[in-house]
Amino acid sequence: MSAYAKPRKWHQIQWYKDEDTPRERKLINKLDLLIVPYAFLAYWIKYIDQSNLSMFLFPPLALLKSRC
Amino acid sequence: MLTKPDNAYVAGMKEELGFHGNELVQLQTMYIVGAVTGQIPFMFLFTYLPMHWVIPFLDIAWGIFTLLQYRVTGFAELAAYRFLVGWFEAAFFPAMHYIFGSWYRGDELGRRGGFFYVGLSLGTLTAGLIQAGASAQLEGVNGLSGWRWMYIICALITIPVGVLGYFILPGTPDRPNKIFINDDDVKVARERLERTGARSDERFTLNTLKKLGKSGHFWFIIIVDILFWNSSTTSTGGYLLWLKSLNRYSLARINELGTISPAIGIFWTLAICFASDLVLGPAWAITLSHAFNILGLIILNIWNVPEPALWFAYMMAYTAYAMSSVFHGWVNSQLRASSAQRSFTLVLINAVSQSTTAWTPLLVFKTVEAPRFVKGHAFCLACSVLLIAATHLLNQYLRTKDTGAISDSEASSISGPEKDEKDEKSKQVVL
Repeated sequence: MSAYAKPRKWHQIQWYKDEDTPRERKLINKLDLLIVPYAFLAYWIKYIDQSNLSMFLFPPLALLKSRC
Repeated sequence: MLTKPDNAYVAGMKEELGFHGNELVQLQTMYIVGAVTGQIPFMFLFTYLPMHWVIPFLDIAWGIFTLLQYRVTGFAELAAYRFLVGWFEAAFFPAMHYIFGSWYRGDELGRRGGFFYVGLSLGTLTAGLIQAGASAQLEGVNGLSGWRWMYIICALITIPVGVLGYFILPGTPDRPNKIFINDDDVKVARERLERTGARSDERFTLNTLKKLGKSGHFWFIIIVDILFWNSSTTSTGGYLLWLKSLNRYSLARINELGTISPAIGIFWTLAICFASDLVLGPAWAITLSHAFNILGLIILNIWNVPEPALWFAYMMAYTAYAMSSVFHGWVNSQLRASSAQRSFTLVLINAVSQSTTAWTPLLVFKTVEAPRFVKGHAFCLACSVLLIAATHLLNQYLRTKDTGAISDSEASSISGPEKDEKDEKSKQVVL
């Protein structure tokens, strides 16, 4: 059953889909723990390394190139 | 973002190395040239390499060149390091999205991508703090200037993060990292993704390009991404320049106020990404995020409005970015039938769009016009409106055309049981 085939009301939102078996939910959680915090951390430090020149060269209004 | 502009150490590097105006711009350009060219080889390589090697390799490499910047003595050396930092950082973003798309279903990607994207927003909020803090605290220690220490500190964070990636990143289902992922996990992951028509074991060949070139959604995806990259005013620093033009705040205060907009952006990113997965689907989540962006841009285009309205407009600026992970998740989902097409497209759109933003601001965001960028604000508004139109055209295209890819609303209804039921019914009719 899918959220879109049978529209749920707004309060019926749920994290997993009904079709996700307990074994699959366990896998999703494991992947979440392995990938998501790491992706967050690495992207954060990537931006720091990317921007650490402009701080010294364009004070005070460093032109912010973000997004990537 | 600067949070502590104390010129004593902020200007240290510039003076110590004797740079002049034009060289500073050239250093920024070197980074962008590196960041675009660094993506080109990876368009073809992702399907041939274990991703839990690729990302740590890139991370450690840019960490090493970040470290080397501590010892620069002149322009040429720094320009080379900036190019190489840009080069190795380039493929990180599409590589991460490729990993997400290799393990998660379409309606799961937005939420994970949302948390990923918050890393960037947090970077814009904390970069100045870390950089100014490190250089102020360590100024003169062991005879090294503060800015030299800053590069050492950044590398000391970067390189261990790279090493960590080798141990915890799961790779992709066809080349998994067996440290934490066991065979059973891979089997379960493959099964659940194959139910949605995903394939993760296709290698890039010239045939991949032929197939992509013939598929309409590929071209739509490129157009949408270019419009996305050009639809926000934030990268030109308009908000900070406007705060400065009010002539009311000190530099320190401007930098504090400057963090409000990206901080609100964190909320927007998570809200849009969750809404996409759980309620709206990608096309309407993109529409919602850009409806707010358009609202802000209309105010900026009018400009002669009460000051609170301009504040509101600048607070809306980061809504344009909130859709980033929704869109990349959608690309993953549309092209999931072929890992080769998927990896190529993820890298390509990033390289193409990034190269457009290297020159579009020069045309429409002329520094002399600051803070009211008449052309720039109109340009962003046009991009944002066209982005919504292109998104819905793409969505319609996916609905009507059976490409193996599917539209957002169908993306979630490919569930096994229901599809089987439909198939059963149609079979019965035929019988």
